Amino acid sequence: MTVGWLSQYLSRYGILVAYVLFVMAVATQSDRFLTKRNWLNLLDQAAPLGLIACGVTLCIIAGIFDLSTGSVFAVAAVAAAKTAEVDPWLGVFVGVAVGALLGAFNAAVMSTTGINSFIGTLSTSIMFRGIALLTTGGLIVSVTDREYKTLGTETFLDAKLSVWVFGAVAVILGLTLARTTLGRALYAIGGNAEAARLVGIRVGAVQTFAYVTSGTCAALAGVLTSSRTGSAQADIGIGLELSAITAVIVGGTSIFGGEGAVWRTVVGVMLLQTIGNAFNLLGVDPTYKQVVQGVLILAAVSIDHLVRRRSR
Amino acid sequence: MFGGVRGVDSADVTFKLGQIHGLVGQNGAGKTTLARMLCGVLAPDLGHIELDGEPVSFASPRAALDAGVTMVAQELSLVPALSVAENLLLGQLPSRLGVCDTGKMMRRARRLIDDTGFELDPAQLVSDLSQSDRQKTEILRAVARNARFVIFDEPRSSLSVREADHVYGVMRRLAADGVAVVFVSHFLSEVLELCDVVTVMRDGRVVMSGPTADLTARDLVEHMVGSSHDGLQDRHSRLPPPAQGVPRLETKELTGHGFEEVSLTVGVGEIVAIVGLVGAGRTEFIRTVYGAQKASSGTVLVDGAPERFHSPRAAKRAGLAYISESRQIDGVFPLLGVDANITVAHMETISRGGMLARGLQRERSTEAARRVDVRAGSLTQPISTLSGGNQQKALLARWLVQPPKLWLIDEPTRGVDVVSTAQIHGVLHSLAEASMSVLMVTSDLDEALAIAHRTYVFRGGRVVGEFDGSTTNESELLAAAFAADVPAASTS
Repeated sequence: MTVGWLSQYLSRYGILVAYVLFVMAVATQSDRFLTKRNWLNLLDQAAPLGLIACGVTLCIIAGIFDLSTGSVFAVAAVAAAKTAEVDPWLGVFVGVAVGALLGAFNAAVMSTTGINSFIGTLSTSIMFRGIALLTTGGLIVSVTDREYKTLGTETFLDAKLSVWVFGAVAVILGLTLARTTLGRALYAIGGNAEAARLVGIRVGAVQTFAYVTSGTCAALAGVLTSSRTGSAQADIGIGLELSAITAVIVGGTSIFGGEGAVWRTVVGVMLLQTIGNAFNLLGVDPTYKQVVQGVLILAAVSIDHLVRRRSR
Repeated sequence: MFGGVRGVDSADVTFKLGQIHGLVGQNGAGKTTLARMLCGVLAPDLGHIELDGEPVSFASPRAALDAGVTMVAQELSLVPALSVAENLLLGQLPSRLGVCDTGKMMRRARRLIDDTGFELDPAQLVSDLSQSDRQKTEILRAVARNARFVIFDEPRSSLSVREADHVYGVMRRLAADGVAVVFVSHFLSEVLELCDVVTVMRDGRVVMSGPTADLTARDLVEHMVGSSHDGLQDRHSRLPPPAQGVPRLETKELTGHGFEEVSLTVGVGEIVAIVGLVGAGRTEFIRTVYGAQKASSGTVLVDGAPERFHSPRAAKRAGLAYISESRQIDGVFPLLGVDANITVAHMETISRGGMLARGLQRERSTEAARRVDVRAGSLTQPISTLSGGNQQKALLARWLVQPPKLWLIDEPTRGVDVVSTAQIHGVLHSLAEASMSVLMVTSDLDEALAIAHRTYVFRGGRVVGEFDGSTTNESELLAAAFAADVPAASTS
């Protein structure tokens, strides 16, 4: 049964294999690619998207689409930048709390109206973006507080703080999904919501947790980004919600819910970022960038899909 | 193939033009399967269909329709976003240069509707229609197709008596015009009144076919039941009697969507069955007891204490367990392992402080799976890789992790192989011995007779009979379910 064993592993880790192959291929073409400096930089760039994608992973596994993360990112960044003048840590707290609240608002809207999360969060995302515009009046909010600005640039063991936050969130959410009853409930609801209700799982409460987590993660990303640039404005993070969902699906989490993992999302995010990084290093004409990026994503997902289907 | 059992085993029937031909039998006797083969929805495994003496084989419903064969189905097949008129004439819409001639279409639809005496607005969208108006549209569509052979499969299931009369008028008129009409129905008195010839099916076979003139509803029931049932007394003597005293479950005039004023009891250590025809309100009733749907009035008492469960979670906490009739739809979590499926209802028993303990999960699921003999290569494999029988046993195991006081089981052995069926019956038996109570819905009368202490018969959302399992027989239950020879129903 060695073939069965091998194909089982391939099917489970197909996306990781594809990613490693891609990294090796790029490494043969560029000396600067496999350097510590490049990877620290790459991770730092990946952190905001990675944070959002980790939160979104919980939603998708529970059968929920959260399309409001890009807007929550902006609202949280603006809220944090505005309050950071009073106290930098107050700014961080307010930014993250606003994200959690917006997530709870999403959950309340879906559970009271019963509308589909796709269209529901699409609507709330427009609202949230409007709130960001109203509070800034369309202007850039600049932070002068030095301490706030160092948050985004501070390093610990050579890696930026954002990288550590991303790593910690990925580990915590990964463990939540894989090792807790709450995680099991998320998989159960995404796999068969009515069956979950009939075995006594509190479907509404568990889904609320997913929405709040997603909002909090998006807010963390927004706060980190605003502290790095020392500013925030209403139109940042447009399209981030789709990039996050793309990263989750590229990693191999099922778009239909009930199946997936946080480590897959981390691989998906890294694959997307590494592709961008490789373009810069190899000096490819940027006009080709999007076409090739699309082709590579398609290739990675196809490999994953093929090995999985063969093993079934 | 339906759940591993052949739907129809060999049926020789002749349908004549200008006749109304009744087709009756118990749930699952193969009536609908036969009807579907006739109109090209299903293909027969063996044998053939002759039309006007010529062998025909319909590759699709479309091919059958072209040959003049069509069906008014139980499951409606209308396009909700289109108007009544468009649905009626779909596939034959009057048009000029590819543009639909709305005026002509409306006139033709109106004429069709007026001819039958139905009240229906041809311009209304089907999505805005009531269930009974949809049924009328479905019937009219068959008429509009000028078919020579029309099958009506339970055409009056959602119609009032007056509307049903219109349907019967349509059927009579079709027959008078020389069309062969087949009438599949549970309403025996109406079959006898309307049909020239009637065919009875049992276990996928034709057991009787003849003119209705000298038949009674009682005769039809006898044929549906057959005479191959013995050894029931034997099985019954092994059932321990239920405990006396306060019943485990009592409902008093419980009313909800699909059923009315249902009063019944289930004793401690008692197995009670609910039988009845499809649509008799049995499933809705036990779902309501479990809190999965709302009751509008009435009382539920558990061990003498009044309870009204607002959610399945509340019912579970009070010691109730529920297994639905459709494993695939709201029973199993197909992507999760067998072990996760078994422990999912009682995750508190396999976790500490919210963290899952893998060892405990293995222990609990192995123990529960062993008690009902779930056959799986490994308990970590996805449950969707198991056979239907093993999946059903896993659902029983799910509630054995923390045994409840009362089991509510809808169709405990539907789509389950013979061996697993016997095992499941054995498990239910041992639950009763361990002083648990079981309330099960079943369409298999043998099952009710074999393992239930008592059996309630539902008809039209009401309890119409209560029978002692050791003294009743299949024809008594069927007669009650079909309202044959029951004094209260002799109004037709």
